[in-house]
Amino acid sequence: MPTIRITHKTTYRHGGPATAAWQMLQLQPRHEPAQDCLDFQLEISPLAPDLESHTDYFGNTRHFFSIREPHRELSVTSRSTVRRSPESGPLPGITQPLAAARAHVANLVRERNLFELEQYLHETARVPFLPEAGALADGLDRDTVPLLEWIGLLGRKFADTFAFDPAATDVGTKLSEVLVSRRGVCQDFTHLFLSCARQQGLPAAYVSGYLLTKPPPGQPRLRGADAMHAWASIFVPEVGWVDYDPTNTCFAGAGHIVVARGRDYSDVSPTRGVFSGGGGHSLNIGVTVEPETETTPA
Amino acid sequence: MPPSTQNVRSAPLGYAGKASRYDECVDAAGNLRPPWVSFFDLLGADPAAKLRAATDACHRAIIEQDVSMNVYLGQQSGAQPWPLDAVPLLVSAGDWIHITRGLRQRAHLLNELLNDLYGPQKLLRDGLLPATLGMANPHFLRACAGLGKPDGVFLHTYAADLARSPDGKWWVIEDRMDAPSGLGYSLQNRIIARQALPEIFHRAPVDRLYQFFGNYRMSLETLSPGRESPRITLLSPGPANETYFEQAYLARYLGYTLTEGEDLITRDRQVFLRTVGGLKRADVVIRRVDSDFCDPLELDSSSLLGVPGLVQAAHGGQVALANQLGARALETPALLAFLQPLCRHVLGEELLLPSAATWWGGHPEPLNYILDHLQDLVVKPVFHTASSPPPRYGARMGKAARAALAEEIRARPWAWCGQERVLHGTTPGWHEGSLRPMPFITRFFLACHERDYSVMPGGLTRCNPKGEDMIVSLQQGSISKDTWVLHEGASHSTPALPPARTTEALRHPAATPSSMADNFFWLGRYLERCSQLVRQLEKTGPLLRDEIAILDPGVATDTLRLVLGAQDAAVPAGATSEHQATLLRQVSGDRTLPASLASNLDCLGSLLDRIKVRLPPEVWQMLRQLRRRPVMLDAAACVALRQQLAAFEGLTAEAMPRDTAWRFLDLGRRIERGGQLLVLLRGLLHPGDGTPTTEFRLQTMLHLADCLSTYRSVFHGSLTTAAALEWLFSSPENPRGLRFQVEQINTHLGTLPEELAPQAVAALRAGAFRMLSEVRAARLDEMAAEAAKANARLQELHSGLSGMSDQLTQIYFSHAVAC
Repeated sequence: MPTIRITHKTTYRHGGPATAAWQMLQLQPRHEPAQDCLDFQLEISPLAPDLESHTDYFGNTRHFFSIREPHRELSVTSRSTVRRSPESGPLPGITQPLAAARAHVANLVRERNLFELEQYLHETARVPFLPEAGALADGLDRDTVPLLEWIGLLGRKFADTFAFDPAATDVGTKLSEVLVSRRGVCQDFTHLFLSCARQQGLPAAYVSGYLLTKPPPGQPRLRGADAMHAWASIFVPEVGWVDYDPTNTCFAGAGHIVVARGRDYSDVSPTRGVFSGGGGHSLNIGVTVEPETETTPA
Repeated sequence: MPPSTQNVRSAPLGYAGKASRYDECVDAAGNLRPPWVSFFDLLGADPAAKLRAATDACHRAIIEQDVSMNVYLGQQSGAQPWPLDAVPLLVSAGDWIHITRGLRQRAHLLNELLNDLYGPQKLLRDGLLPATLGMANPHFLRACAGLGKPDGVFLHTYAADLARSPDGKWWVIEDRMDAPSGLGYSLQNRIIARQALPEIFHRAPVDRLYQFFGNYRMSLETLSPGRESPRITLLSPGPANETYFEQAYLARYLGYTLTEGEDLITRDRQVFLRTVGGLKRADVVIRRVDSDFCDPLELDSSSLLGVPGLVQAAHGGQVALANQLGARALETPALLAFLQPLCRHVLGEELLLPSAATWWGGHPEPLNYILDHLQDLVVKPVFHTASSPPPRYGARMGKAARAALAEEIRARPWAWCGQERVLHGTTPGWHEGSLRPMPFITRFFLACHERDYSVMPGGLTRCNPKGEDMIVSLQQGSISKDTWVLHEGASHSTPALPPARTTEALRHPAATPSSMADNFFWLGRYLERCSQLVRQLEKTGPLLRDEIAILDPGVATDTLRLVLGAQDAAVPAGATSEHQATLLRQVSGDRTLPASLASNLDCLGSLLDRIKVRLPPEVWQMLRQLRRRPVMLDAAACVALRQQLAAFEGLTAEAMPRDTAWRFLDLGRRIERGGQLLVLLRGLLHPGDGTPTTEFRLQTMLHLADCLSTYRSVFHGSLTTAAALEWLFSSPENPRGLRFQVEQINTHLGTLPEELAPQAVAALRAGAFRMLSEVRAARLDEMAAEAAKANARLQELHSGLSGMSDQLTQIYFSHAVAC
């Protein structure tokens, strides 16, 4: 099984001195059947005297700390080592068609102690039920196509409809704007995918994580150029949660490292902070994801 | 009240109930019910006159005590006088036993439900609470999962709105669990109503409230996770909140620190109060900020009302929140549809107090019922958010509107509830000169004390004077009432003193919140600045018209430049003195100019609004006059204003304890006064090289510094530059002179705490002492003679004072100096 190392550095730079800061992080990869987080280290500057961690409602790890000294720059570096086994997904043929799956889910929520599924069926602030998002599934056969195949078909529809464009959106861009411009990044596509799937009655979750990107042949991997990634997870009755990456039009595989799962970006945002003083700040993020064998000794 | 031995009696003043509603005062046959027989007996032979007088007394007390409520009405938003009817609601002893029993059971039940929702979630797993009500609930705060503990006090303070149905039964209309409001208003209503009808209140067997509040205090203390003498604070959303008055009132009554989010910080999963003496641990937080807004780090990140890290502090368990974060999740009408089976399951008892009959659209059968009975139901969104529509009354809608509503419900059935319309019972209220039946609801309050809930024997009754409306909301023109719970038999006991404690234990260690010190400091500065500007406005006009102004025009020009400059306005070239005086009045009244008198008075007003509960009640009167002042101040208005400000100065000197807050107020005043004086001296003593100092110039200077009459009495009238300078600058006897201000500043600085930044405090004190030495040793003859030297000296002193203000801010208010 491949072992992957991730370095994620976040730097806040303030216009003036900030007298104090409070931060919440969701950067530690999850323990899951397909992945083990072997090591996780946090480096914070200036020094944070009260680093604490807490497991949240979704089973993600949140870290909290405060900075008490006046500072103009705050940096957080996390280093994770994760062993990831390739996903061995079930054959699409064995899954129910969407229409049957939908009834099955409703039944599970009502009768079978899976009440938590209910939270992945509703709209949230970042996943509004826009009719245009629901309509992306128009023309996809709900009654006979097995659900896993249907998810793939929806993914292809996304690939045909939207173009990846990091310059088109930011964290605050509304989903309705993405539908008009047809351009966006992983976060937008994931939210749209969730909106569409939930409108069909499928429980759908937001996943934040890292992606091991393959460098173009003959070129070295670009360090720090990568960003955090996001994809969708769909609950498939009798199979369980299946992760699908609408940005790359593929099911999640050995290169997808899961950090946190939730209903939308707000549940899993990697860093959230409150500063006192400091005026405005700029934010700089650098992520490096590489197989362990590639690391050169220091 | 003793049961009446008289025969049936009809109500006085032509009072009658309303068809198809239960009336508190008369039965269906129009005969008085027992509590009201005694009430009218005590009211005497001329009830109308008595009630009129009581109404007037209420109104006066509301105005005098400035009891207010912020009303959100678009353009007309702002503080409105609190509406209070003098006629109380009477609750008979029998009713009270029934209500108390039912509400205590309900509080226990809701506490269990919250502990489960934020704990093991067994009720969701077992389907006793539908998954949607937990999982799709925007007020179920996942960050708070784990705060529910077996036997924990999640719900410390609970309030329920009750009404009577036509058959005379009490029904719960709504449960308030997150941050219930109304305790402070209930207390205030009681104090005013018993003074409005003193002979009745004292002779009727009315249960008193003090015991409940005694228990309330104790229950909060025992909630504290550790320390013996816990520090308790009330976290308020601030003066813009609709019920800020009662939050401040309650905090003052209980003797707890009133705080806003910025006053508290978290460290190591503990909560601290930012005070001028450093960080002081807070053990219990009475939470009046809605849960969602309490922590920008984990909850609503746009909220400015919260404390970053509060959720984690709650998890850490070293601070108790009353109520615990997240309680709003169960403030959904849909819960009422499931309360009866939940009560059986959780407590093994039948629910004693019924809730308004409710159908939740998330299940097929109730959904059909709602759709079939829209014309009889009130339709409410299941979760109340900022964007959710108001309740809709099917009976008031046309056919088409009902059909549209049905479509809305079918589209998202789980998002809607249908509720039976309860025709609220009525109770007598005095309105526009007559006694009328008014539909009412009453909010009752409970607090968890020694593992049980005690009910406050009283409540906040609201009724609708229009009589026909179903909406009973103070935001929409309803009025409030005191609620008298009557007991049978033995009269109430006299208040017992609480268990003995040493005076030392009662006296809280100095803990002036930094924001409060900041506000007091600026109160001092604004008061002084306003006094100065009013004096200038008042005295400059006559001065300019004086014939000596024509003989000595340089002084007039300099004075005008000075007084207009103080409000950031320029002197137009070649304007007549008449024109200039008009200009000064215009500038002073212009609220759009940040440095104008009008703007400074506005700042003073909003500052007073914020901290009025900490000031003597007489200040409230002044505040009201300040709000009602004319925009353009004529001579008479100036005089009135100057007198008010002088009265305020007297109050701060004689009616306030010499605590840290007062020190900051006086520091603000002294620094401002010293600064103003230096500006005056610089502007008038040597305005240009070679200008001779005339008698008129000296007189103007003394006049504007409010020192002319004291100077005359000390120096017997003869004006010399050296004597005027001595009086204004270095005399220890002139309370308006510079030396006096600097001496006071030194005294105050010496008493301020040092913990926050010992070195910076030492430097601040050393600077102030140096300034005092310099003022004492100043060579006045030199200053009188040499313009350049004098001006440089005055400029230096002025920056010294500004520097002091900055240092105080850095050290004590913004905690920006590292220890």
